[in-house]
Amino acid sequence: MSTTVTPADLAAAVAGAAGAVLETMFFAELEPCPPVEEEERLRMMAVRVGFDGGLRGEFRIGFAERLARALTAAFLGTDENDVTETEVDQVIRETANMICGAALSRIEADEDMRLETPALTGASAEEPGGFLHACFVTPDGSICTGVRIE
Amino acid sequence: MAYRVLLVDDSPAMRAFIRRVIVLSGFELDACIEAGDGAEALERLGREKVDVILTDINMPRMDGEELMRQLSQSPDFRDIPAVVVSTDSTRPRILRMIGLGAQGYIAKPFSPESLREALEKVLGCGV
Repeated sequence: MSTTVTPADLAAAVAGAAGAVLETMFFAELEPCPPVEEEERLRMMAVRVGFDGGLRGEFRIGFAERLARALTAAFLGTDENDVTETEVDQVIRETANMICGAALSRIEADEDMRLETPALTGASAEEPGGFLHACFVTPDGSICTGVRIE
Repeated sequence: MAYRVLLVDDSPAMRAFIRRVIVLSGFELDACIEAGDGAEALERLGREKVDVILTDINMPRMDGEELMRQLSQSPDFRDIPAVVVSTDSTRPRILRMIGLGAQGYIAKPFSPESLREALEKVLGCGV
């Protein structure tokens, strides 16, 4: 288990990875923003990824529904009106996987890493304590991330 | 020349993305065969001839590392060039996959250019 990485380090790595994933794979830009209102957060489509290896913990991410559909259309090269719910689910789970994996690879490059299969959760799902949160805004809506180390 | 590509990834969305990037990069595809995990990839390889394998690592049933191990031990499959496409870009993992015979390693997120360059390198061609 790594003893040098702090939750703040990991949160910073998540922010960097989120920007890289959105820009490289979706040609989208995101900017840090203040925490979203609770009502907006509860409407988000949320994904959870557990991780183990040099660090053990949990990553959560929520997408505004409109953004999730826009990202799916960009990823698959289709029209936003044509994407299915299944495709949206697949793309946001893959996006969570890429952000979490890229963040851990940046911060624990010399350690082994294992990611759980990303799982859709309700945005209102009860969250254990110890999460560090960050929110970002894009022209199509917000993304909120949370990460904690056990 | 048209190529036969085996795409191994448990995410149908990622398989669709990679397939689209390959086509947009100018590669002519004779076939793009897809598998959701390593076991399905081995099954498809038993029935289909391919020129290159693109594989994820973190997959259910049989992951990409076990797939590479089995490919490396197979007289029929060990000469097929394989490129890893994974979110895991930690040094221990990259070294293990290269040690198992991977000829390229692309970390997600990746640009279309990096995928095209990796394919050109292992296929010995330029588009």
